[in-house]
Amino acid sequence: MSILEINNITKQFGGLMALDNVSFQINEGEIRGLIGPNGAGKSTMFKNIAGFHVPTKGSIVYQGKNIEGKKPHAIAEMGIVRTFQETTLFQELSVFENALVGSHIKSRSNVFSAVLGLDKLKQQAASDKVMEVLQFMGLTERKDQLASELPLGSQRALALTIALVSEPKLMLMDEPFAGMNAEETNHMMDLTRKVQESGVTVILVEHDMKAVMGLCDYLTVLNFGQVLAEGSPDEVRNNEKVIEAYLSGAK
Amino acid sequence: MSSNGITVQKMVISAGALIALLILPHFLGFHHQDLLIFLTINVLAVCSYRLVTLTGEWSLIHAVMMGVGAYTVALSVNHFDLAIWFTLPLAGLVAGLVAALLCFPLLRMTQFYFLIGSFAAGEAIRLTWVEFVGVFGGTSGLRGVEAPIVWGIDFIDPIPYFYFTLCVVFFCLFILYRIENSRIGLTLHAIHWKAPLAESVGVDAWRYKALAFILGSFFVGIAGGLKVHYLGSVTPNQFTIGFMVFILIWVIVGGYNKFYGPIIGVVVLTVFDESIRSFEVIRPAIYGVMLILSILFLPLGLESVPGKLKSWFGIGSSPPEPPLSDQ
Repeated sequence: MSILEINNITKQFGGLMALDNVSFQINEGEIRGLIGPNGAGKSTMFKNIAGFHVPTKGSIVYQGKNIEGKKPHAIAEMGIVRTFQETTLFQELSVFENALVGSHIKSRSNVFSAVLGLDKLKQQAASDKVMEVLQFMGLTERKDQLASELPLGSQRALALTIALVSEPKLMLMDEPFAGMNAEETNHMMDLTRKVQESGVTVILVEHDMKAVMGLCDYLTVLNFGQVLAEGSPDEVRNNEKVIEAYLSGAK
Repeated sequence: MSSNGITVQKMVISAGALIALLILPHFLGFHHQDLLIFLTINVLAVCSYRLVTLTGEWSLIHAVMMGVGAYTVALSVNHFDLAIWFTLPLAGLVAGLVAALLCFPLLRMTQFYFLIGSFAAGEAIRLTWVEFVGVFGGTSGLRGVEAPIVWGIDFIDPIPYFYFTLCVVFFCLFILYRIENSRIGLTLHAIHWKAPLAESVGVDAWRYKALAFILGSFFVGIAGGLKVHYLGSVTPNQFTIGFMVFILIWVIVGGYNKFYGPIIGVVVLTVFDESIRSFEVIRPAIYGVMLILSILFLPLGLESVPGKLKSWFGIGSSPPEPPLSDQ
């Protein structure tokens, strides 16, 4: 069953065609890899899904509803949450506070209940949820540290924590393995699998082929803004068009 | 160090400060009593401004919003003879409403453009007071706002009015403090540091920026109302960019990372400015030099001085504190 349908998405920046009539579907519960050489349009695709860009043409259907052109916060509220390239965190807040921001959708309060303290139960539930996810991610001991003081691996885990606390149904992960050593990569792969096992569908943009091949159930390859190939990791690995695209990019 | 000891210490200091505040006006001359009332009102002005800046957007319209509150009070007393219990909330509501309308054009802009846009909008409002002489009295403003009489106490006398102002300002500061240390405060901080990340988990950044702007204007509107009830008159010149610059200076010199930073800023600079009154013509120059020095050597504001002293003299270690450490 598909959770997300990308139908003929085109995104133009002036004269540049970043995405050209791209269509694919994401099945519920899978880890989907979105790969391709630099400039293939992977991150642009993400931004279109998450509402940070509005597609020039085409439609994006999530659980039967059109979401193209909606604002990022509205899309997040429907259950699609993205993580960012590099380490995008609230560097000046503690690990706990970072994760707490993730619980916004369920525990936001209005001025009156905030001033009068009427939202105590809701806030308690939020902080319980945060502690649960921190435990899940192995960050409990670091909860009072500033996000900026964490090592890279833990920063990425925290980024994932913020997203998970919001209880998404579909998670878009933008290059979660970039700059990681082998050990950190393995740890992150385990975490991603745990996320999938908890019932979240994952779409992954990634250059680390070892991680992509080991983790993804299915791959979609983009090249010059078009879908070049689709298939299981093994099929894609042996696809001649894919090999050529990567090699010509390497020249 | 036990946290209990610190709590007791804090309570003793707060109680001492409160008692000092209560008996202070009895030892002051008339001129200084005036000054104390305006200082108390300005504390509310800077603290409400800090709420607006929590999202990272600095506006130049705050002084004019104070004026909106002041004009609201002047008009409602002169035309409808409303009691102070109604005029002050009304001042806040009207300022908040004006802010809510201005959100639509202003919050389309960010950073420098928001700064300039808010200045332009503020000048437009201020010049409305100058040009519509029939309603707002032009450059000479509105006069003859009679001092309120509450429970037989005439507020034309500075001492009772000071106590009244103190109560209102304390109440408003309490609400501002609660907001900042609530879920809403956390969300405002999050928007400041990384708006896209906050939006990716469902935060409507626009709404929260609007909320901070409207609430900040609401409370500064009350501050403006307090001022006009005491002065008895209001003119457009009280709320120029010059006064806005003073608000900025108080907030920056005091330090805007902590709730109490701007309060320290406005109190210290007001007392300092008053203490160099005898220097007359070179007074602005001394004031300016002090500002430059404090910004050069205390970029985090006066609020950071106790921490620095502690680390210099080695009394305990004082690690850099995160912005939300007030709780």
